[in-house]
Amino acid sequence: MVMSRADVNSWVQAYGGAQLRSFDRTATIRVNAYVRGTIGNYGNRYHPVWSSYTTGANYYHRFEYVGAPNSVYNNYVDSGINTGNIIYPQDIVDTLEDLTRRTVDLIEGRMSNRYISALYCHASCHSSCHSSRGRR
Amino acid sequence: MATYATLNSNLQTQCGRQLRTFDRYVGYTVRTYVRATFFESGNRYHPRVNSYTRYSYHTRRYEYVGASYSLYNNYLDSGIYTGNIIYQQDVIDSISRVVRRTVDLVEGRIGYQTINAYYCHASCHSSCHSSRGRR
Repeated sequence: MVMSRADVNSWVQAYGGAQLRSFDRTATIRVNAYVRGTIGNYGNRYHPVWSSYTTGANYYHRFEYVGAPNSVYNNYVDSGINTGNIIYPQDIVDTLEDLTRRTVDLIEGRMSNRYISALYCHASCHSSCHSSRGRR
Repeated sequence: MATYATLNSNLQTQCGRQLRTFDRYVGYTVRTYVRATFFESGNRYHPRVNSYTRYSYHTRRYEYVGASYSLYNNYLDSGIYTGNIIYQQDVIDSISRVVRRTVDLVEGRIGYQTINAYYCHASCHSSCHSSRGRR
């Protein structure tokens, strides 16, 4: 059976698309910041309790393309592959190069900007953050 | 005649060059508390800056601009070379391997990052760095 451009195009989409959908990576971002400052009450005097304490936490951001349609690879077939032409092995290599570039571009397109809320309170006396004055 | 060795070498060079184009900056908008400071007045401490939050923008780079070409060594199906009949399965296997390899390599570059978001208030910066809130 003779291999046509349409055949290769359908394989590129079906098998390339299936592999692209395996892109699913969770990036860990550690954010270091100051905790919320509070005042403590000691003998009718107010003292800074948490004024310069720093901490950090990990945040996880997922980058994926598990829902990629096969059509994102439509026509990413080397121009040398045409029905009626001899398909040379180098044409296959050229097609694989096109696929690599396309895959990189598609993944880059999925790496969107993110938002992180890193509002840290101190751990030991959490309620004091939320009262009008530092409670003990 | 393109031998398998030649084609394999070409694949490494061509795909490796494309992998090196992976170079993405991701922006992270981070909301944090600024450093709280206090001042003393009449034997009492008062908050100068307390529970104020701010946003900051950070970019982190994910790239593989230094990828080695050899990362694609032998990812071309062994049945693809001049003088041999190229079968459907040889092409399909090569497509699957190369795309999967690219995805895996890029995933491997999306690693751990740190953002330091230590902020003082802007209005009176020196007070953050004195022993007590200076006016």
